[in-house]
Amino acid sequence: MSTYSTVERFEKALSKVAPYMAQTVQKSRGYAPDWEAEFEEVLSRLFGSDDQALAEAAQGYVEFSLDALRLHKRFEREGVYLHKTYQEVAEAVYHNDAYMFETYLPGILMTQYLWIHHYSQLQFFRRVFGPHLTGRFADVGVGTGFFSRQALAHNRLVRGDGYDISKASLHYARRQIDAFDFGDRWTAHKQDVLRTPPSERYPCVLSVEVLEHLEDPPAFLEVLAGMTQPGGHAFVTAALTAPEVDHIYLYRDCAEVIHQLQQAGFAVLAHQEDLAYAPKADEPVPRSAAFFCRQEN
Amino acid sequence: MDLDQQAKLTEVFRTVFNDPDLEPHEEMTAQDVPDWDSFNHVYLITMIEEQFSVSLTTKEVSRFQNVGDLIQLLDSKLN
Ligand SMILES: C[S@@+](CC[C@H](N)C(=O)[O-])C[C@H]1O[C@@H](n2cnc3c(N)ncnc32)[C@H](O)[C@@H]1O
Repeated sequence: MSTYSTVERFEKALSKVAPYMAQTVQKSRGYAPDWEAEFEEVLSRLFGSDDQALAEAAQGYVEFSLDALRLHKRFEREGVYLHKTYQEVAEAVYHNDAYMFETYLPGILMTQYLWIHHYSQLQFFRRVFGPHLTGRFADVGVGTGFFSRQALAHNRLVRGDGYDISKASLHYARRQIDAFDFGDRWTAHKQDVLRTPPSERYPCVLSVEVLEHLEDPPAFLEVLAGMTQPGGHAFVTAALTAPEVDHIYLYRDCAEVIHQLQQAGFAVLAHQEDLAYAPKADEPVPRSAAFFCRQEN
Repeated sequence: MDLDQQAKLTEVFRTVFNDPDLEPHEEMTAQDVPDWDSFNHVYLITMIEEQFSVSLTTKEVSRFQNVGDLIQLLDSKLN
């Protein structure tokens, strides 16, 4: 059996579900020398020998990606995101268990490996935030638990708290973190941090792919600043010109995010912007922007 | 699907894949057409929705594996 047999089984499942994505895994192998070993580890720990579960994860990824591409086509014509309130998104997505478990959560998890701008964001996280991960961290909007898991793997002495409004997200995150045997160092909190800001202050706070999901990101950044100890560090990301089912707030550039972070009391020490693909002419391309910050208050 | 609709579908394929000689047939899959990746898949769906005045959900369009499946899906929408 090959060393990366689970990746190969996933690749086969993806080509079967969506022949137009047959090259996706092969392309991603070129992202980094250890890309395949990393992807193998997560797939084998989460799905093991269960081909049905692997095929469902592939199907979730296909639907999640196609949805994003279709919304992007519309965005190219109209220049704005579809109007949705936070409440509407919460009901249709975060509290919709079937959609969360079948499409959203497996979809997002797979994008961390199969979308170049997401994988590149992970490298930035490890490089700039990794050395500062000590003591305790809070992960706000844990989603799949991917970044909590990364933090717990990066430093085997840290402990983490994950906050999310979605029962499904917290369940999926717990599953991923337990699959890596980090369960005893991580606590899940079902909590809307905007309504009930946590009172604990952490030396490290991370929040990945949450800002653009809100109606009022500056209010959320104030909560994050309040959760970060003075002099502590935060890793915050924002999707730019990247419509998705639950994206509400349209960021067009890094400058706007930096301004909001500074207003909330963060100094931005480093940031990185990654493109989903090379643009043809001057079409808008989905981008991820990640910010490494220090709490200045 | 009647003959006019079949001709329309052929035209859509030729435009999307930029190949005036392309002859879509039921068993054809993305593996048979060099540029049939996810971007062109979405372009194909958008063109089909426009040309046939139908609306397709992502679940529906993520599941067709060959042109035959697409024709079946369209038939179910057109009738
Ligand atoms: C795109 S996901 C985050 C992805 C995640 N960081 C990962 O790496 O998988 C957005 C998450 O934010 C959560 N969320 C949205 N509003 C929130 C709020 N006010 N408080 C806490 N979590 C929230 C959603 O339930 C969802 O799980």
